[in-house]
Amino acid sequence: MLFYFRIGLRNLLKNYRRSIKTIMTVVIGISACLLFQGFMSHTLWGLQESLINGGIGHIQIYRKGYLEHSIEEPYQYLITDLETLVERLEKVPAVKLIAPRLNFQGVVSSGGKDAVVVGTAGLSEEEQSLNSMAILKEGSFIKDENPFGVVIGSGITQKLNVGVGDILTLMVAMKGGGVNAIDLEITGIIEGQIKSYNDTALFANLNTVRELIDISDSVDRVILLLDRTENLEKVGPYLSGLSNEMGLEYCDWRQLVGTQYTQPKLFYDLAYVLIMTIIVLVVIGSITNTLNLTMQERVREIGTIRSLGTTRLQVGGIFIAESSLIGFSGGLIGIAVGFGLAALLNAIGGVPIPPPPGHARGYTAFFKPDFLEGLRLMFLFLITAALSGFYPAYRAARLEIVDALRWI
Amino acid sequence: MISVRNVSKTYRMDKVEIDALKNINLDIEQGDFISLMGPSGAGKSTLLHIIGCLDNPTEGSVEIHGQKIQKMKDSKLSIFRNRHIGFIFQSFNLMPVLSVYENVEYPLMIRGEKVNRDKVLQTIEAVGLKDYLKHRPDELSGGQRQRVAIARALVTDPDIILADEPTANLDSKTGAKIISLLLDLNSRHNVTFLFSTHNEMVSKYAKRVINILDGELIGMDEVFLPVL
Repeated sequence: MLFYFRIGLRNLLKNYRRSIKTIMTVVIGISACLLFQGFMSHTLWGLQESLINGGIGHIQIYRKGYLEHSIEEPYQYLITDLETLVERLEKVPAVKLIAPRLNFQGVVSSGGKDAVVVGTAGLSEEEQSLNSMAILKEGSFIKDENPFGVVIGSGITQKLNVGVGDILTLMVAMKGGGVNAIDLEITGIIEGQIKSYNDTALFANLNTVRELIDISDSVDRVILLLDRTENLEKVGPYLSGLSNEMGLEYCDWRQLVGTQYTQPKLFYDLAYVLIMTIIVLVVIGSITNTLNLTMQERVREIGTIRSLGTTRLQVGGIFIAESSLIGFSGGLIGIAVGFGLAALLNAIGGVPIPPPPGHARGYTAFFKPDFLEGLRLMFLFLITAALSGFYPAYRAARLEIVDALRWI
Repeated sequence: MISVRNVSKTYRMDKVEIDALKNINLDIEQGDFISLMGPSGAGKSTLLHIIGCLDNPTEGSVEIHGQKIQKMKDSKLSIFRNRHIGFIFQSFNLMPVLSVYENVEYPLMIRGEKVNRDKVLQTIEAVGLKDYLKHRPDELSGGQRQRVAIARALVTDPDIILADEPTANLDSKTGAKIISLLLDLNSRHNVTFLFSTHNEMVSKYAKRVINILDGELIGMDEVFLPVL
């Protein structure tokens, strides 16, 4: 086996200019794949963190039955033993923040115009931490000592033509039926990455909203923020036990974000596969072309070695060894170039990306290529290169000896 | 040792059929040193290719040590060639990316067995090139390259070495040295040689001269040991 590679290596070195050009095709291909994977990885990670830190948190805990019945009976499945729950949750490792919250829907109006809002009633410090990805464009966040302050999304301010200091009337449905309303002062304007968020977000004081809806000391969920997203599996067993004891249920961010995460992920995954397929085809074409040229130049040599007793299989093996060496060397260099380019792009501050569809802001793309993915790509391109050698190897092996010996 | 019986070879070139060999009958014994003489296009190379299992006759048969080579599959034929037949080509046909040592070692390496390094070195020494082991073919003269080719043919201890115009690309002095080397190997090691040439001067060194014209054997001359 080593003998195939020895001859293959010598032949590559003999035509080193041509070999370098072919190896560069593999280098460019693999480093492009790695850069795209790094971009994709960082972008999805950014999306994940922005969703988690855009108000969803890592885990949301509800009264058992809430997830199934909350749409038709929003205030019948509330967490009432909040104090006990918070005490128990404080002992769970990796939990950084515990935020009791009451979600509600309502309508805000000002000056004859109105807008539907998706309201969040919570504790000011906790809500501000949970929404760290959103930017406070103007004013300040809600404060517990100002129960009539409200923070709204930038889309609402544009629709109602209001600003910090203006008064809004918030109207909601009450628990027992009927409608209630309250005047609130805009203390701040918030902007997240997603447009629909900016068009409907409203943050208000927990106790104020509880009184408005006519529920006392209850919340519909408790949100947990962990110190790291990777610790999600760690807290699972604790929450499972707690939920069984206290009649609760919970779900994590992956179940909560739904298509907001899975659709972009699917898009990127498909794009990655498409890009990789195109690159693989280009690499196959390049290597096959090089080896066909090499084979044409070595017809007489092939006739000679066949006359010395080299079998057709061995002749094929020599060419496949050559193509494998191209794949291997190109793969090694390509991985190094890919990681190097990613580090360089990150060092110069990343690449600015304009706002994607449905987003209000652009972002800076960084590159986070995965080492395991690099190894997988290297293996893929090694196989691709080896397979590229099959056709030239087949042609070489099928040559008739006397015709090859007569070749000029 | 080698029996050629009623061998004919016909090539088809578009709609024209060309009879390259017509009903050749020939016996070659161990230790023979035979020159195949004839002008260009006489069929010398075709006969060498058929005896060397590089091509199949249209009719007839070739037996080497009692084995009918036409019945062998391609892979078995490759192994048979490697073990029983050596080749020397007019243009040397060395592998340009391998050194002298590696070119001579090559026929042993493709067997998949451990190569006897001493055997390779002895063979290279026998052709007078022990100081050129690491040289590549492009660093050697024509005569030296042909010596490497001879060593490569010899290293497997073949039953017969077939040489197709071995001195055609060499000057007369070098050519004479090569033939002298072949004769030396023939007399000291009893290696059987069959070589083709259209050069009468070269043929004078052969023990037997077989004349071929238009695909037919037209005569065999026995000659005594030549004077070099």
